[in-house]
Amino acid sequence: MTRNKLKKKSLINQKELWIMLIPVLLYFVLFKYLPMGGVIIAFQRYSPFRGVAGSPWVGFEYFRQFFSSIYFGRVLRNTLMIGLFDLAFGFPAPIILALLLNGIGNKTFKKATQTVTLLPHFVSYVVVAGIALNMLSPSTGVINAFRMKLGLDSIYFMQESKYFWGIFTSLRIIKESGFAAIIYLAALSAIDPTLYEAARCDGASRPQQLRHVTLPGIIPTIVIMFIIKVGKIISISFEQVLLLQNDVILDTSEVISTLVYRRGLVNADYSYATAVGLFETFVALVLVLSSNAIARRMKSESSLW
Amino acid sequence: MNRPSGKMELFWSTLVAAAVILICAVMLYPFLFTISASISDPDMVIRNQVTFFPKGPLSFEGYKILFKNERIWQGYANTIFYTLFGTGVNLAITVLAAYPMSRRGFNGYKFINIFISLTMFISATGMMIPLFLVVRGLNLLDTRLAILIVFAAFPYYIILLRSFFQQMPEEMFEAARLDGANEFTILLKIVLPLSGAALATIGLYYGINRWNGYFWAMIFLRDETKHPLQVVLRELIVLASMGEEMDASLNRGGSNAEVIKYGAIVLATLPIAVIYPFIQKYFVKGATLGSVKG
Repeated sequence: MTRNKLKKKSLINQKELWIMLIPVLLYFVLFKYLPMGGVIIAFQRYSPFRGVAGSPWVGFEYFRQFFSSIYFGRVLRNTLMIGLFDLAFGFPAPIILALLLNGIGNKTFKKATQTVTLLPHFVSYVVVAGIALNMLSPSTGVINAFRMKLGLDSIYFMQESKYFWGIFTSLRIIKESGFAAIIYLAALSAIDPTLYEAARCDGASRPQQLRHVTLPGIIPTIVIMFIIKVGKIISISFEQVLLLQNDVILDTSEVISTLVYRRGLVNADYSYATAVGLFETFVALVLVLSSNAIARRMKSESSLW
Repeated sequence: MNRPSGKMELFWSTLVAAAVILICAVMLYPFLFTISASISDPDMVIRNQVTFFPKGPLSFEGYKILFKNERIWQGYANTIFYTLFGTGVNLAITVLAAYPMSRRGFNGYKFINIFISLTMFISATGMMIPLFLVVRGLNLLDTRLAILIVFAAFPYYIILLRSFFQQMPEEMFEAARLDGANEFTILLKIVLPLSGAALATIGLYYGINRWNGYFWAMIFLRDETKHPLQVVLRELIVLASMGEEMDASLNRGGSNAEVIKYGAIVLATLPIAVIYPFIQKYFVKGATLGSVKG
């Protein structure tokens, strides 16, 4: 066996494989590792004219500035709340959707409905935000048109802070549930059909089958997905938030990543923004690594069952 | 035996079907509404009369103005360029990374694996400013090249493709090597032709990402003629809805403004909606491929 391995080792041409990797290494060094090193400007008063080498060191000044500013509490709260909303509503949504789709007997109907629920995932967030802003508009929005017909006042949805978390989460649910449901559908299709047969013979009703056959079958998947999701709780995509944000509702819609964008790329406060970004990276890294570690442990345990 | 009665069975089936239809309606309605609004009489749209189907005499006023708008066409052309070549770059880098990693006995496996995987755990927010400064430092700002090469590969897809390559029979490679084929020949002549479905799936994910991306194009490109469609759309729909920006080149104003917005959404989404039924299969396959193995 070992001799066989050795023969194989000598057969492949290492040099040729390394030549293939040159563009790959170049890409990762330039656009992944160089930026990672670039975070040191968070500890400098970085000036584009002086560069990293010439800019003066300031230690943790920008971190102190961020932690003591009014933004800190606000963006931390918003980031966590949006993350928690996503966890509380966005996490169960695809599971429910998958269970419903799985409950359909007719194959054509099932396929057609899955096609529909998957469609929004393909559409860009720019389009989703565009449609949503139009539909929620106080003057020409269809949602307010419905409200008027019911005799209700029209609401300035995008001008009132209290609606933002709900709107953001709802849009994410509509857009991503169909896609997220795929993994649960795969888990559901792996459940042994004879279990249902047996349950039916024992007189189990549909809810009882759900409780005793379906749910136990997908609980390992649910647990793993939940742990992974918790690890990503503060990593909210700035591209999504940015599209729905406006100056009036910044107090509930500004999250860490949009603050980095605004201070860094709009106002060119490079060092401050990098410090804020570094703070997020650190917290996110701890969360992701611990959740991945737990998920991996669960996975190896679940394979023992 | 106390088998569940047919009546209860029917009740639950109906309930499930009703719920699913309701969900589908919620997901489809925004699209139906947008299409209807885009071809309705502009006055009906502005008076908020359109709810489901087009109202008033069918009007293509919005599309007429859009078709004459250069930025839309420029954006379209740019997006097609970025999607085609960008996906090409993505696939090239992904293959070049995945193939050496998949070869048994490759002495750099451990290093490359850590080197690539490590970058997955660093949050995008933290890298936002340094990445921008690197791109500026390389004089890539305002170049199309920046869009193509800055996001040349995602580690996750490299790992996916590596696993796929690893499943190929080792004997095949040995035979080819004994016949004197070098690694480049093996990759081009044997591995790639056998990887059609995997490349299509990964390419699709990259492609959708390219087509829908707006953020970095907005940051890297100041020159409007290089903007992809999504950036143009954002200015046209999102910023206009918020009253932040008006695009003078569209000479909007009056009742046409609303119809133009809806028309632009339809134009941007149409290509995806058309190819969607054909690629859905690969899409579902790709989603489960990753997560089950992950």
